[in-house]
Amino acid sequence: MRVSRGEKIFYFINYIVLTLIALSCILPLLNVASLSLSGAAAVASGRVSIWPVDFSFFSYSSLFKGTPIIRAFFNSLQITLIGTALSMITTIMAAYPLSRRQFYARRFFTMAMVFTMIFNGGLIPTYLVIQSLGLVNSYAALWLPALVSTYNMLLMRSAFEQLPREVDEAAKIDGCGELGVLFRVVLPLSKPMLATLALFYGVGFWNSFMSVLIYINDTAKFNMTVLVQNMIRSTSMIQDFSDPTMLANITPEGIRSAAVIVMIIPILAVYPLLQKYFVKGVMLGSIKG
Amino acid sequence: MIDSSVARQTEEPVAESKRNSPGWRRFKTNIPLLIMFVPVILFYLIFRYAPIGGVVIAFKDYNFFDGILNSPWVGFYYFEMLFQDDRTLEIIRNTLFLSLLSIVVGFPVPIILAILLNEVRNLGFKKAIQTIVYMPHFLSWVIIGMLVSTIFAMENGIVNRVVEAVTGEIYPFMYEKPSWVAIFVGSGIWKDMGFNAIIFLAALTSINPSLYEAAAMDGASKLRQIWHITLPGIQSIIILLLVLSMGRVMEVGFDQVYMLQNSNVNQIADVISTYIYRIGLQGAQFSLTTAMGLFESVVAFILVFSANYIARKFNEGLW
Amino acid sequence: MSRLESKWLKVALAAGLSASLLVGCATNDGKQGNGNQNQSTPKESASTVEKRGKISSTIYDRGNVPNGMGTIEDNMWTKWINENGPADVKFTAIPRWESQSKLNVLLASGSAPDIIFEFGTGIRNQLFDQKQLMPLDDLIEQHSVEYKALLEKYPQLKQVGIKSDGKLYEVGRINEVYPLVSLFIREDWLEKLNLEVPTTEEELLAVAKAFTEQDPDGNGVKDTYGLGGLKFGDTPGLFRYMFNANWVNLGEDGELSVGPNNMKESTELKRKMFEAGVVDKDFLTDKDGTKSKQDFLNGKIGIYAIMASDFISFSAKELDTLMQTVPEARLKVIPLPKTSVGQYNPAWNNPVQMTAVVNARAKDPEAIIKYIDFLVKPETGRTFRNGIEGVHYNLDSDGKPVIIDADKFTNEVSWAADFAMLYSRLEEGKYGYNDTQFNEEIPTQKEGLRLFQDSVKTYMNELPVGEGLTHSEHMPQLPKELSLKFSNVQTAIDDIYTRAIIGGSNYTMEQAQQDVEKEWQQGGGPEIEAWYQEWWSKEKDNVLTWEGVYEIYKQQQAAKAAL
Repeated sequence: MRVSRGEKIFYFINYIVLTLIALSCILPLLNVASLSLSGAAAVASGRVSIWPVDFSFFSYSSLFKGTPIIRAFFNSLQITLIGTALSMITTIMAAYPLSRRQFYARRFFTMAMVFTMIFNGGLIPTYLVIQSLGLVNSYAALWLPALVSTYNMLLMRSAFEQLPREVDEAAKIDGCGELGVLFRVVLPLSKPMLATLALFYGVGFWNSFMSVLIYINDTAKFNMTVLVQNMIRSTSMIQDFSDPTMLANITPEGIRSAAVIVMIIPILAVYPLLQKYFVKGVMLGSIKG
Repeated sequence: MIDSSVARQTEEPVAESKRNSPGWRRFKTNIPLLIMFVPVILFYLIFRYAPIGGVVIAFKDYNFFDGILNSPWVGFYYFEMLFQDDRTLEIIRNTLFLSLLSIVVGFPVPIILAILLNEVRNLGFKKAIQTIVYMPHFLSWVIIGMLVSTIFAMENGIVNRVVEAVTGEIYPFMYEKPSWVAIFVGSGIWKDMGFNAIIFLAALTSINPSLYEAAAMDGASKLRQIWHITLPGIQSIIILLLVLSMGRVMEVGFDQVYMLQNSNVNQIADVISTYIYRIGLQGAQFSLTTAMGLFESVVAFILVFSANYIARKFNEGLW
Repeated sequence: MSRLESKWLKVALAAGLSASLLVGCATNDGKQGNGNQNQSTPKESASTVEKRGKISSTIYDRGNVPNGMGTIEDNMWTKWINENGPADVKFTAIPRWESQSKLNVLLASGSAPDIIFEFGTGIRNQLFDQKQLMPLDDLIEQHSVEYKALLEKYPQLKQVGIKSDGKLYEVGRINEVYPLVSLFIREDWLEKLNLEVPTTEEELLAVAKAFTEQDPDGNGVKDTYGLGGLKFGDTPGLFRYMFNANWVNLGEDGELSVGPNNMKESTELKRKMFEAGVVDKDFLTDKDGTKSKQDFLNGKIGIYAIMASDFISFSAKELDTLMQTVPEARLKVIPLPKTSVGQYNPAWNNPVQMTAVVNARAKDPEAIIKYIDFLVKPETGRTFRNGIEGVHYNLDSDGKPVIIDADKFTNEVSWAADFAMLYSRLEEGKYGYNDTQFNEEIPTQKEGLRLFQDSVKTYMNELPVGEGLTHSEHMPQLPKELSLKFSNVQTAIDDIYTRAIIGGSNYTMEQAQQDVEKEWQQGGGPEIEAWYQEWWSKEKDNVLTWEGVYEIYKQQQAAKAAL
């Protein structure tokens, strides 16, 4: 393949720019990782930069022994996997009809949904609604109110709308109803966007903090975010004169860093798996047929 | 449009012609869609619209004992309290300024990043960079705030060491308003650009590769290809996201400002969320914070509506 | 159609799975709630004759219950309480640092526990404003034994727990009075540079300069600072205490003075310090004072204040790090230097600490009072602090609790402290006092004890405390509009002064002071002052001032000497 000189220069500069950006992004993470693997005194006196000093696993062992982080991890997993599945299904149920030109009152529904993105009643009214449904202290209180993120739904609708009409019509000629078009045409061709939105929902559920804090009463059901935030805030919040015991409970920075790393690793592991859906020219074969 | 005589000629009873009319066909195709959509409607009614009723708190002197329904009505009292304070206006101005600036400067960055990534031909490199670049999104502002402060520190900050070597003097980046704003906007962009690029990466895959081949054969350079093929290909998503970002204009995230602000720049750095945090410390000023929230929502709504109106002129409106 | 069918199957499966999980979760939490009560029933029939009450209580969750010990609301200590206490208690966990939001939603929805433990005065006050609290005067009078006795012994408990309507709403504990913040100086540096301990603000500046410029750590590099942190961390408090620069001060005439008292003077010293280069130029961005603390622990700072409080965790953390990183360092506690506006002490620990309130909707107030009595008893409190005798500790010949196994203690007892929020430790006798808590066989604790005693000797005296009228927990709460104004005005003035510290010739103290005056006048200062003056004229006798705290201190020390 002939690659022009102009193109070669472009690719070269591209590689350099991207590498620099990536470096800037990875350094802070290296710092946190190093803090989590360094000795206590080194961490406290600020001697750690991007490589561990006095290599030690004590932060991780204190974290796993001294806190219920394993249980919290599995809670997070459960909340995320089921929540994402439910949200994806419901969002498809919302985006698909709105993407069909013949659907009644499309404009009205869309406007009504965008309205809810902008206006909301606040913490207490929402809590009262959830409570009246008897959902307090169950994970349903986390899943049900989050079934559809209007933002994500609009993105999905946009992806559905972008598909060319010919493919729809081809399927209909084959005898598919609306549902058939959804499952045989629209969904398979929208894999990149679906993967992206699954990632968005997944990350959202994984990181859910306020909702877990407010709706879940049993600490055994807490997820990792709440647990880790509890640890982190004991140092970042304003020193509390009224609480002598608090001083004894300040989590050393090393343990905090270990907690951050444990939280981030699953997220980092998931993205490469989703990248395989970002394949170019998914559409290519379908139109010609 | 079917003339009844023609219908008789084709031996279809008159009644059937109704069933084949466009209206009926439309209704038929809508049935499965409507069935699918009903739970969605329920969801929005119960979990989104019902709580909105709670905004009446902004017009009442809310306390737990009386509850939402029975708390005394005070009308615009809290709104007046907010807007009579000079500081409030300053804070709203700061919020709008920082937010709009972030959007204007920051919006193109993830797009450019996605395009650059899209052009990488080595799959391994591409995947690695993509993953690394979206990491900062998951670090909290506590960590990033400290990092930024360290980099721009006057005493031993990396940036100042370079500046000192070149100009012989150090510059208080974090304490001067213009540079602080630049750091604020820049750090926000840096943190989220990788994550925000993901949508664009997904959208880029839907562009037909043969278009590129054709253009290349016609002699178009890389940049021209990007301009004429790539960008139009993701035009819809871009406009969608732009309109939606108008809805977030009043939300300048608390954590980012709190970790980066300092007394010297508070005149530009104090925003609605930090203000609410300060007041919140004094006790549950529910009605006050709800009033502020309602005001934010109204502004956001006007902006989104206007942005959508403009987008509709390009046939890309949300509704 | 097979692909379609399999797709349908997957969807149906997923839906079915989710539905069953949803149902599972919904029914599960019904069972969860009954967990505690099930555990206590076996003992019920065997123990008391009188009816056992059922109550609910909050307990702070700090995310520190070790693996295998259960949860903070259901563990060996909650079981112990239910077996040995007067009532069956169901606990609801409240995240320590988000207690306000959690309590708000629980109260707003009518599902809050009967007794609420909360350190934050503002939060408790706000609950009172929301009419969520039950008055306790009569209840204590009729049903209480231990707490009633405590009230008689320490009338200040009553004084502080009374709200604006004259009724008692809060219960609490008596803490030992000792200094909260200590000012340390590197004694080894003083010796190396042949300097005396600074006693005035001018001397403080001079010594700080010497520390910065004369390389006291002898490493040939000019990398030391005289002073650590002017804005964040504990050292800024130092300046506030030194100059008694507070918003509400008590004059010698017994009258209040409201406004930016003495802040001009304290800022002037800070400005001189900054311009002399004795502090890290980036102190403003050092949120929480982390960097300056790290510098101190690395042995790079000569004068530093820390909220060392009881010195116990200080020994285990900061002191331990310092002794490891900089073995030659020796700390000395020094009195706050004399200033142009007088000499003061740093803040002391709050002796009268309110920690609990009762929900107005509580169904069984009598049981609650009995539960409070149970928690107040020294035997109960001691259990949460030391563990169970024979299992976690033994008493030696002198009656001092000695921990048997440190790891077991850490694993089982160290996180139970929040159950002791109503426990007045001094009631335990000699071994409730702080200086008996140190284990002198451990070097860091030995040094910590020495410094603690130093601190007490230096700061527990007749000099006025530089924190204004009284401890922040005993200050009244302003009405909403004034509180908003006050918060804004404080931030604005604070910013002005901070700019004055680093302003150099661009922003002089005179300019700053003018701006401050203007801001105070325009921001509602006079209104705020008027409110405080009115409050003071009405409530003068009910407020526990620092003088009152000193009286309590003397009372406690006398009791100790008599043991």
